[in-house]
Amino acid sequence: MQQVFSNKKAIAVFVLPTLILFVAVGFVPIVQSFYYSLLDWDGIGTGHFVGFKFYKDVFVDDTYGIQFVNSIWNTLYLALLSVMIQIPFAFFVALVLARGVKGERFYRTLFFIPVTISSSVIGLMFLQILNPNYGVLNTMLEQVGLGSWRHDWLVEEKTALSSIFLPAVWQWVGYYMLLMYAAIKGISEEMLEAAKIDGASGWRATISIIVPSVAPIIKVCIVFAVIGSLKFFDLTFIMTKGAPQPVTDVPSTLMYNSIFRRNMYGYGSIMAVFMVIECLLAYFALQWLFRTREEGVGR
Amino acid sequence: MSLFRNMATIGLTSVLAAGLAACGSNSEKESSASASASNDHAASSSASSSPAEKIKITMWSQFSDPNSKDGGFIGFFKALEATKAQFPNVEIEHTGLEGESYKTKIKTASAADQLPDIFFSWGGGFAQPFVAGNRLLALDDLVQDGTKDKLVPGTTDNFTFDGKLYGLPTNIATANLYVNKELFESAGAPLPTTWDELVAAINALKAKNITPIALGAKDRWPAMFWNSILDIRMGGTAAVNAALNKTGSFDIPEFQEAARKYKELFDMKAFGENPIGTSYDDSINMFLTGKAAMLYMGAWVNGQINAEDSQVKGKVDVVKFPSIPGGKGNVDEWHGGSGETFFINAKVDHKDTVWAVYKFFMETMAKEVFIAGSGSSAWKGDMGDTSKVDPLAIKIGELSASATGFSYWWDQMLNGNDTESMFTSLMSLTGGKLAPEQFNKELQKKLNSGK
Repeated sequence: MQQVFSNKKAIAVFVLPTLILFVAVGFVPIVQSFYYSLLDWDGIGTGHFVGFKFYKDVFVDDTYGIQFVNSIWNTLYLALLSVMIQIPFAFFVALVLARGVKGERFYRTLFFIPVTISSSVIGLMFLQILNPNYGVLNTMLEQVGLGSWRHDWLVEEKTALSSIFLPAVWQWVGYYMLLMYAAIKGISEEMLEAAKIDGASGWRATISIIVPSVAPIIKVCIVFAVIGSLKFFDLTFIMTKGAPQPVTDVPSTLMYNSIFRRNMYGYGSIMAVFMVIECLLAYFALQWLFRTREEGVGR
Repeated sequence: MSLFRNMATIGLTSVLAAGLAACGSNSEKESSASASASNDHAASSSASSSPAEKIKITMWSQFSDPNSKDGGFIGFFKALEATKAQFPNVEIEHTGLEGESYKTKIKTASAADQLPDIFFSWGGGFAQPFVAGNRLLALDDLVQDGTKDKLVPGTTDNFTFDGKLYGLPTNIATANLYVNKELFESAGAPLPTTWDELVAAINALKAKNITPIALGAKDRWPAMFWNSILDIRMGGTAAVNAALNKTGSFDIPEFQEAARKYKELFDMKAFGENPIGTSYDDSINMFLTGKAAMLYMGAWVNGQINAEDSQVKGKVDVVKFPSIPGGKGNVDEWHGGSGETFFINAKVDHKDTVWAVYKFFMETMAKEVFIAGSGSSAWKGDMGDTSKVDPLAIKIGELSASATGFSYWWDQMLNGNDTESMFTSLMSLTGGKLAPEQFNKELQKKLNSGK
């Protein structure tokens, strides 16, 4: 066994299939997108090379009134919601379940169900719930005498964005809960018992023992949540397609729109390239943040 | 451990070999397919003595559901079956995909130059990139075989680019004002023929707590219909078409007045409380369940209105859109026309066979769609037994027989980029973010800049 893994050629052979697959379906399209972003191309005929001509237009001039920059802020808002609401809530649920509660398995499954449902179904479900004419939400408000609180949720500018993002936050709570639940379950009982003997229980044990023990998983969750928010697509596309423009637009829906509806393949590819760079930067920024924090704690 | 190593090597090698073999067999298959295709060609061109060899024609369309009640779907599938029966030597492989995803599919396939032999498309700006990319077969020589004389004049305008014809028409689709007679009676309002009567009817219906007009503005294009017809009544089809063809302007006093009228309708809640949050399907349901009294929509809803399970069956009439005093357009100018077609791939094999199949199919579809009640035929000639044709379709045929002008759907006339800009501006106007005059200025600036 060791002989196999000490042989460089053998390692290369083992890694190769995955590497080929990754390069073919991951890396090559990214490079291709970068090339397309330098073209003036309608996606149907042949393109002309124009270099970085459109880059400034996407971010500054905005000839077509697409308002791409606004959509970036929208995803940052979603990232903030995810980190501030979704992950703390998921952690709380994981903690309660992992520390033992009646019907633990039932609740664990219950919270995980939204993750297993496809986004299209969730989008359509919330479209029905938020429907201004016969939706459950408006009907319920009417029934309890809060008729004045009725809204056309997905149309009014104040409520539209949150009406999409809250379902998205709700959808993925179960996923992070499960990750953190497993991590908390993995903490050895001895450690918690020792803490108890030292007088640390409840809140104190959570802060001093559990959180540091599952910190790696929390970091992973935060990275997933932020990156996932930055490339958010499905619910916006299903529920509003960006309407009322540009209130609920996110970069990926604008990219889709530019490429497939406006027939501007190059223009849309610039957005794709931006998203790749943005996600990478976000990842490195988070890594750096975690590291400096760790060093700070260590000192 | 060397045994394990050997086994690992053998295992990997065999996996790789299998992969290579798969690649090999794949390309082999392809080459054999192309070989047989060329055989086909030889057979069909030299002699038709070997009918055993079938020619395969691939066809894509947006007609995905054979059980749909939409007249366009019914007509398509009847025509497809008839064509299959007519040409036993031809195997037609049809793939249907509905709506937006269909547009994406043909654009993607076109980018990769993998379009099927025959594919459904819209004319106007939507087809422009396909023409510019040399993806479509020009039909000018082919239609000289007498086909051209069978067509209703003006129905090929949306498929003609730089004087070259690329597609045959099927049907003339018009948008019509459907009125629920029962609801109008209960509100005591006459069917509207002028703008003032329309406004009066809206107020009377509102007083009875009936939604005057069903509109699904969430899907954007139903709202566009209202904007278009108001423009047509105020400025006339010639002015509208000129603006869309970039030879005229969107920012003229007539269209400004039309935009004000459009806004006025929303302000008086003519479309109910939440038209922008209502989808097309929801709006159709509102009309079909008798909750709304009017609907301005294409003839494809005829089938749904008079379906067996419809609650408004027999209660609905269709009228010409009311005239607007002071407008340059008259009541005989229509929103609609002939804009849907099938194109033939420029690189098609067996051109003559495909043309014969195509020609037969288009003419059959035109008739079948008419018989299914969704639009008049763009082909002249005997329609056969019309006794079972939907009464609404016949009425629309009578009303539009005196048509003096057509202006087709904006989202097909304009190219993709302009369409999106137009929708963004229109929805801003609808949502009250843009004043009517600004709307016209913005349209002109975004769509016809420099003109």
